[in-house]
Amino acid sequence: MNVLESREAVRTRSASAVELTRSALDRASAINPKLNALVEIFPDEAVAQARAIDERLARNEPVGPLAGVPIALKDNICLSWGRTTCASRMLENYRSPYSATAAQRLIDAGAIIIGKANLDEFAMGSSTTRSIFGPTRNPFATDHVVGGSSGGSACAVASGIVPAALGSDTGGSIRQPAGFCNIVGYKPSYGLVSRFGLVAYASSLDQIGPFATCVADAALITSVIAGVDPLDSTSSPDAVPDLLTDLESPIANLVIGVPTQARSSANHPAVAAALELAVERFKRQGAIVIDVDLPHTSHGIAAYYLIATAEASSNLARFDGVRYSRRAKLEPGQDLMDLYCRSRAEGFGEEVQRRIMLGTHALSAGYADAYYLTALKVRRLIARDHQRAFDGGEGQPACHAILMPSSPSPAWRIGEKTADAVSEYLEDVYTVGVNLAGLPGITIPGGFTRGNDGTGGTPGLPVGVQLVGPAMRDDQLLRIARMLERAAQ
Amino acid sequence: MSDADQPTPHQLSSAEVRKVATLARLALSDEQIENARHQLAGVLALMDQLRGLDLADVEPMTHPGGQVNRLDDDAPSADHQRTVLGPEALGRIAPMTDGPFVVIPKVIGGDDGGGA
Repeated sequence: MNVLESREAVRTRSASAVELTRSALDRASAINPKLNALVEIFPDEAVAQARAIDERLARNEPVGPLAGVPIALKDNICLSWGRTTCASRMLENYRSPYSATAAQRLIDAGAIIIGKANLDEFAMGSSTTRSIFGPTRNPFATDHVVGGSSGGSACAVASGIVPAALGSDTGGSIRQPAGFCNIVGYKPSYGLVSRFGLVAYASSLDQIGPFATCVADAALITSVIAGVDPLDSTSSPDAVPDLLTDLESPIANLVIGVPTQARSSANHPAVAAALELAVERFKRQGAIVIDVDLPHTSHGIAAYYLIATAEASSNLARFDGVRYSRRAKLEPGQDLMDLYCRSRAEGFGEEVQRRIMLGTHALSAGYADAYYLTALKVRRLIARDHQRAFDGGEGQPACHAILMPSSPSPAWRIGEKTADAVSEYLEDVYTVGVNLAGLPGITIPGGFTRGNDGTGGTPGLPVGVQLVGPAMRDDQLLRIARMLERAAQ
Repeated sequence: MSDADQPTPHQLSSAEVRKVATLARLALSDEQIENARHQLAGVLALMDQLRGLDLADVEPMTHPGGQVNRLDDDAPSADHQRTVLGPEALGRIAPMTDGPFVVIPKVIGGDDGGGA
C-alpha cells in the first residue's frame, strides 16, 4: 500500500495502524539484512505510536493526515529517540535531545517512524557506500549501488518496507537514488521545508524532501512538513503553495524545456531513451516541448563542489570532541589542539576529510577569490540560465518546467567508483544546478536498461527523469510531474 | 583581484596539504597526507575548469533565498522551548563531564586531564 492507501485503510478501519506497523517491521526483518536500507529500527516505539493512533480512532478522536502511515528517516535527521549517526564514527553513539522540525511535523500528523535509513557519511556521496554501516544495496541488483546520499531511504521505499521516507538533497541526494530505484524523489524549493534538526552539510544547498512511490504521496508528505519554522531563519515565511488541491488538474498550454546539454552523448542509452520517451508523453498531452540552453551546466559540478565543501568545512567544525561527538584518547603531554585534530581524524571517514580539506583550501588566504568567489559567481550564472528558461523571451516561450535526466548513468557496481572520487562527482551533472539555484526538482521513474543495448549494462536497472520548476512554484511542478506519471500508467 | 590575476592552477605540495590539514584540524599521517595530495589534485583539476570564464560583472550568489534578516519576537516560542537544552541534557551528550562541566585538556598551566 502507498501512503494514501495506508491512511485510508487506517481511517476506514480496514487495517489498524498497529497492523500496518507490524507489516512494515516484518518486511524490514525479512529483507533489511540483505539490503541494509535501515541502520536502526524502532519496533517498540513504532508499535506504541501506532497503538496510540488506533486508540484515538477507537474514541472517535481526530487524527492527523498521516495517521498510521509507516515512514523512515534518513539518519542525518534528528529524532529524540534512537541514535542520529550520520553514518559516521564521529556520531556513532549520538542521541539527539530533540527531533528535527520535519520529523516532529510527521509525528504530529500521525506518521509512524519505523527506523533510520543509511546514507553516505554526513550525506557526502552519491552511492551510500561510504557508511560505517556498510553499503546499502540496490533492490533491483544487489551488487549495484542504490545511489546516494539518501540511498537507505530510497531503498526502504523501493523494497516495500515503508511507503515513504524522508531524505535530504544537497546536490541530488534525493533525486539520483530515486532514479536508481524506480521511485519518486522530490527536492522542494529551498526554504519550503525547515532544515532545523537536519545535520548540516552545506546550509545554502541542503533541503529535506520525500521519497514515495507516486507523486501524490510525495505531495502529501511535503504538505505536512512544509512551512515557516521559527527555528530555521532560512525557511520561507511565504505561504506554502497548495500542493494537493489541483494536483490532478493538467496544466493548460504546457511548455516543457529540454536543455540541449541534457542530450549529451555521454548519457547511457537507457537514460537517453527515457528522456525522449518523456518528451513524447508530454507531446501526446498537447504540451509544447522546446530546446532551451543552460550553457553553464558543465561548470555546475566544479561550482557545486567548491561551495558545498566550503560550507561543509565550516559546518563540520563543530565536531571537535568537546561538547558532543567522538573524543580521541590522548597521550600524556597532548593538548587541546591534539584533542581537536585527533578526534576529527579518527571520527571522519576519508571522503568527509577530503571534502573538509577541499573546502578549507578553497576558503584559505590566497585561494578564496580564485575558488570560492569564482564558484559563487558561476552559481549566479547557473541560476540566471534557469530563470531565462522560465521567463522566456527572444522568441522563446516561457517554460513551465525543464525536463532532463536525473543522472547520466544507471546504478554502477558497488566499488566501481570508490577509488576515483571525481568520476562519482561527475554523476551529479544534472542535479547540482537545481540546488545552486534553490529550485524544486522531482525525479519520476523513466524506464529500465536492457541487456542488449550494446553497452554491457546489466539488464533491468531503472533510470529516472527529472523535472525542474521555478522557485516556490512547487504546486505547478508537482502537477506537471503528475501529468507525466499519469501518461506512463 | 581580477580573474586574470588568479593564481595559476597547480598541484599542492605535501607541505601545503599539511597546512590545509592543520587548518582543518585533522591529524593525518605522512601516508594520509600523500594520499590526500593525490586525491585533491584530481579534484582541483576539475575546479580549474572555471578559470577562463568572464565573470568580471557577475555578482556572487551566496544563497538562493532573499537576503532578508528575519526578526522574531523577543520571547521564547513553544518551538524554542522544545529545543532549549539545560545542563543535564547537554551533559548527557558530552563525551566527558565533571558535574555540570565539560572536561577538556588544560589550556593554561599543564597538560593533564581531559584526554581520556
